[in-house]
Amino acid sequence: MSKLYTGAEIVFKCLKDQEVEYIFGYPGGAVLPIYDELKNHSSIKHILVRHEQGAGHAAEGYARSSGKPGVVLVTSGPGATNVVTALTDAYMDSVPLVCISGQVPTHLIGTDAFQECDTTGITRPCTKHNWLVKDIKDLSKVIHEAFKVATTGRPGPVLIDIPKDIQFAKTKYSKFKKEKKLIGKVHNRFSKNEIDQLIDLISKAKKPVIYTGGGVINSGPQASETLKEFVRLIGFPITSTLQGLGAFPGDDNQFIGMLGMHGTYEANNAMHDCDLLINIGARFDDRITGKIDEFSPKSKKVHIDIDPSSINKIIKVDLAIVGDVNEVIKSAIKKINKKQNGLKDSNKQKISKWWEQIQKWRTKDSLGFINSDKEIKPQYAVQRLYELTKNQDTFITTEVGQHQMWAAQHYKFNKPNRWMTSGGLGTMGYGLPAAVGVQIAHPGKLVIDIAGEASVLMTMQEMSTAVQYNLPIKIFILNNQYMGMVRQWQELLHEKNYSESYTEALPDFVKLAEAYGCKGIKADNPDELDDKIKEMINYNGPVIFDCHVDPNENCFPMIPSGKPHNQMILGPNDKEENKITGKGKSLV
Amino acid sequence: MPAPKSAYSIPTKIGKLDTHIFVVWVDNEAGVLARVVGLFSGRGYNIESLAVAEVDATKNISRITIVTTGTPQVIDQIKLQLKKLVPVHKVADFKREDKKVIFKEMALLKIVAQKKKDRKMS
Repeated sequence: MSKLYTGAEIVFKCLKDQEVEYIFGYPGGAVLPIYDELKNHSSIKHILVRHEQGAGHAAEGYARSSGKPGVVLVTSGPGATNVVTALTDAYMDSVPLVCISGQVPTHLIGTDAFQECDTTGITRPCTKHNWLVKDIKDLSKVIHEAFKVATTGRPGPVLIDIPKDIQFAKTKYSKFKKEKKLIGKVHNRFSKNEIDQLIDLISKAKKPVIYTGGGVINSGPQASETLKEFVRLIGFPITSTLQGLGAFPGDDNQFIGMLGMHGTYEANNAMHDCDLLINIGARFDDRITGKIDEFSPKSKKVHIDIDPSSINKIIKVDLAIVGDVNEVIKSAIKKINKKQNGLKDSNKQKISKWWEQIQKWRTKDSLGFINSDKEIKPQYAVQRLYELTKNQDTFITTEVGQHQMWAAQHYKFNKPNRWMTSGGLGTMGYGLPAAVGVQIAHPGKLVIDIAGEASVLMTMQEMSTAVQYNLPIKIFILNNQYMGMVRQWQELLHEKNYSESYTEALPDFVKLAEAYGCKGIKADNPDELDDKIKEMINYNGPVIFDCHVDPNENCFPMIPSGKPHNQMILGPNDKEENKITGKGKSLV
Repeated sequence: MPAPKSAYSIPTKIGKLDTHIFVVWVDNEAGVLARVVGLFSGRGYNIESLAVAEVDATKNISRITIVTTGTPQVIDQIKLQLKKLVPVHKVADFKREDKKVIFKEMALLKIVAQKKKDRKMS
């Protein structure tokens, strides 16, 4: 007879079979048997966070920067509810997470037992799928299935709820066989005909633009290489969503910047005036499209995505190709090289006027700002940070708000998986724990959280995690004492009624850093900024950098919602002639 | 009335609503109905009527029949979103006005009769 294993042992056997190296978690009554088993498995390292939300975001940072699924382990009740924000965040941004939660013993389920909650009920709408394991015989099958669901197709979070008695119960374990072919809910069945149609549209276009998203990142580093080859081959201008930054080199001449609400003038105008729009792995989010009725009115639209439900959800497209981004572009390149060798040159001619137009838009310098020699401008701080870190492989995470947009606008990413930000859900407090996860996945690399002082306080406790595991993450706070994006909208829409958007009694971040046992640096003068940034980079350990910036700076350019792409508000010089009026006021 | 100050775009005009009948074959497991119904409520789709029953005991398959209304775009979305659910095997949808599809509805009525003479009615 084969050996019997407890549920807790089976959990670890499965994790080993899935080649899991790190678990982000927090113990509690209903997961104690699993925690007890941890000591027997030296190949799996547990990272103890300070709050379960931190575990979730750290796992997200780990997953997004490494391409591997992030694993989270939490207890029942509050442990599970605390991780809900991170699960929802991962669901919105398509990050593969496997969350294991403890549950009260099966006979107590439904009795309002201590630390009981309906975990599968609560997490049903924020996971790709979840399971309550009520029979020990199902456990290994469920865990392996969970990894498959999380990592295949459009990735996302899953949750496995394991009652305490199941963790103690014993059963056999049969060796896991990794399937080579991905089956189930994976869609990669595009046809040759669709590729032909795509190439036909490409060869006819006079004003084309490529718009890429997080799908390219999720398709793996190879997809970014393929994308580069494709874009260079056809010579089209390319813009990217917030999540897609890094898939195509940010300092390349064909890259026209990020698009959307705070995107560049040239990217948004190109989107509006184009005659061919190729969406690769993006989802026409409302921060991208602006006013739907006037979104890119003159273009033929192509949508390449692995998730069939993303097609025609918001914008009706003329050609939909459902498949893995890398596979689709690879077939397109193959076809172009094989059949239409002349396409490369004829295309360049055809779209040369379009490029001239784009150059004209570029001269607007929409990311420009008026620098100061007295105060640090937040944009300047990000620019300096970029200049001083661009020569090493740097990973950037962010919180949510103005600083996030400035980071996206002024930091140039040349490789995928270097940019971790909460785009879909917009979770303040994401960046610090995410940086913890990124540093775990990439020891020895420079990991910086470009933060706002309001956001970072939401998950500040994870600094303690960074210190415990000696993770040298750098928290670069653009401190303007306001919830800057809230203040900006109140300024533009609510007659400068800055209701509750100013934070009084902020902590002294330098002392706070010292209290956590890490280094604190403060800068409030542009002259000292470079030296202080260098000091931060060169310090071997976690740092909180309190960068005092101009509190009144707004994030431009900006499309006020309710306006189409070609009606942007540019920087302070342009403000007077382009005020938000009438109907648009309701829409930002 | 002034427009509300909102962070999102104004709703576009709602197109013509069609009635559709969705038939969904699912694994007969705990929570599967909640997944399907939760998808409808969570995404703001309408449910006019709903019926669930096991149809294949050996394969453990249940059949959920949902009558819903929506614009063609919403109906497409419902179908694609349903197909994404892990325990969903197959989704079929029928337009109520489609002449090629046969619809049958049945009602059972119970009439409470008190006097003997009333019974003649039946």
